[in-house]
Amino acid sequence: MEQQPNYQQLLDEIKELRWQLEEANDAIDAIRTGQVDALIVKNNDGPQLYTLKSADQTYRVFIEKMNEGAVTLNQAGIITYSNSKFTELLGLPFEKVLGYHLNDFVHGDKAIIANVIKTSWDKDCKAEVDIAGKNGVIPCLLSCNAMEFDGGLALSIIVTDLTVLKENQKQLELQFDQLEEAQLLTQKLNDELEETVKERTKDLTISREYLKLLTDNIPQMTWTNLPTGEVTFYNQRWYNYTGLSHHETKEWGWQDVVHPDDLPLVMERYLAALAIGGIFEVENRYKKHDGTYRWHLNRAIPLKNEFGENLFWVGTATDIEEQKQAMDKKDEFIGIASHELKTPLTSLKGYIQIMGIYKKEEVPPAIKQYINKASIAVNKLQHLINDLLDVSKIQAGRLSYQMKDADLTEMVNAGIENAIQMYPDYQVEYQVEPQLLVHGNPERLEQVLNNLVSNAAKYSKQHTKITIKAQALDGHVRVSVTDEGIGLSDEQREKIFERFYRVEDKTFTTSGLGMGLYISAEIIQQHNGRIDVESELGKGSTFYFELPRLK
Amino acid sequence: MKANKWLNEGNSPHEDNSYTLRLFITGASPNSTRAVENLKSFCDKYLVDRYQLEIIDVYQQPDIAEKEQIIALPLLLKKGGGPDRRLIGDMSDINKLAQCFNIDIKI
Repeated sequence: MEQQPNYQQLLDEIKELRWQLEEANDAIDAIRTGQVDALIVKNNDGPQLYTLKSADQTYRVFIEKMNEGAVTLNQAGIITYSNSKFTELLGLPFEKVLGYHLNDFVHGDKAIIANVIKTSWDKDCKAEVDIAGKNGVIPCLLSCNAMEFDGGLALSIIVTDLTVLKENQKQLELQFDQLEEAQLLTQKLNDELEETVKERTKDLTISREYLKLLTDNIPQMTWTNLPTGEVTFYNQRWYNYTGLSHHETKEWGWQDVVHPDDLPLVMERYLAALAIGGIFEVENRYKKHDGTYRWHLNRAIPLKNEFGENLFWVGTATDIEEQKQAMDKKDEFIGIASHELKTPLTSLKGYIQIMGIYKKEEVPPAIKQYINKASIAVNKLQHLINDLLDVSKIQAGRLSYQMKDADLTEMVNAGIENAIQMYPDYQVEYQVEPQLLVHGNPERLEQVLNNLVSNAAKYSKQHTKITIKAQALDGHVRVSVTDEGIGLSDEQREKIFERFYRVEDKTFTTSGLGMGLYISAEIIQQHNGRIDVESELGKGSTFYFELPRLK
Repeated sequence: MKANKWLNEGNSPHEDNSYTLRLFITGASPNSTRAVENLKSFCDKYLVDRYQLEIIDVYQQPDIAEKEQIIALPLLLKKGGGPDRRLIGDMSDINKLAQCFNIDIKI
């Protein structure tokens, strides 16, 4: 038997039922007062959610206010719903949109949209189409979703206006084009630059080749050396001449090629040029590949950079062997000739002297005058021959004379007297300090002074000033001759003490063999002195020599 | 019973006066929105630290809703602290809520 519920149990049951009743009433009440948004009803397909009227208000607002157009189509493609944004895009009132075919609002090819919509019924899809808007064509993106609608089918389409996007894209493309253009321009510039570089390189290569061709084909040997003295480059001539390799003669290897007798002088000049960054010039013999030596004149000039620093020296060595030999032959000839001339000249001079003092009979005055003139001419000739003899002696290293302590003041005074007599058409001024003692040969030193004075007169106009000075100067004695003559250029000044050098000038028909200063320089050198010139072209010159002073 | 089953599935056992609440709503519909607001304000006022609240959108999670024999929405389902209770509507009636939780409130 089923047990009867007791009283308490019944009370609880009643209480629970009351609750349930109340809940049911509350539910009905809630529905009635509109507090319910949706109902769930079970039917054969399972629970279905029914949203009550006004519950989808939020979505309506969403859809109405959103920035995209929203439409639904029925299966015939007719617009059944449109939000206001879509009608705004079209610029049409609702009544001109709803119930119309979507195709009516598509610009251009309707086949595309028809195809898209056809596809959309089966699966979601997106497509870009042009919508005929109120202000022209609007590019739009359509997102289509098929949906079930109270048992029926509908197509929901979100229409996104792509105008701004497209505009941005267009701008972007424009900027991209500009960028590309700029890139092209840059590329072009770059190409041009490269072309220029190529051309320059080609030029450089050509000029290098050209230079190589030039240096290899000139008759001189050439080299370049660093400021430290190492030789870095020789032309082909050098290798051909010496028969040696670059490895054997690079850096200081060339020293073995220089004649051992010449090397000390070469080194002295070379190191001096490197030290002061000046021109290197020396004559020396280089050993040929066959073991013979040939005289060369070396000349190297420093190449400076923009800061005045010496980068390297460019040097040439010119073969002067033939000139040397010719010079030697000339010297030999001069030596023999002057010697051979001297004997008859001495007897000629003697006979003229005898004629000059002839008293046995009366000599007509005209003859006396002739004898006098002959005497002057013979003296001049003797002078020239003496000079020539001196030169040949210098060349042979045989110019020697007695040296003694002498007063230069006396010698200079004698020279001044001589000058005043010899050159009456010039204004001879002098300034001589007393007691200028030197060690030397007075006759030879007077020869030097006379030579300087004669040069001064030779290269200046008559009635100009010739100033002779002798002064003590810081342990030295200096004798100088200043003229107001034609002066010397830098180039002339460099060569003035060379043998047979003569200054050519159109306004002066000069005489002499160009031996005076050469002999003078030789004499002063033998006196351990120094001879030099200060000069300005067109203003005049000061030739001077300095000798060590005795105390 | 389904309710008991669901209760046993809970992560923590209920103490006497602690509640597990489930509010079933339909998205952002007006009554659902109001129900969320009203229930939150009621709980914060009267059930501080004594409740766990889950809000379930039946649009998003239809499976959960199906288990709970829901007829109308919004629906509050209260478990723990006495018998299970259901309340339909926008949760604007504080007295009804108080009855549901079996608590005395003075207005």
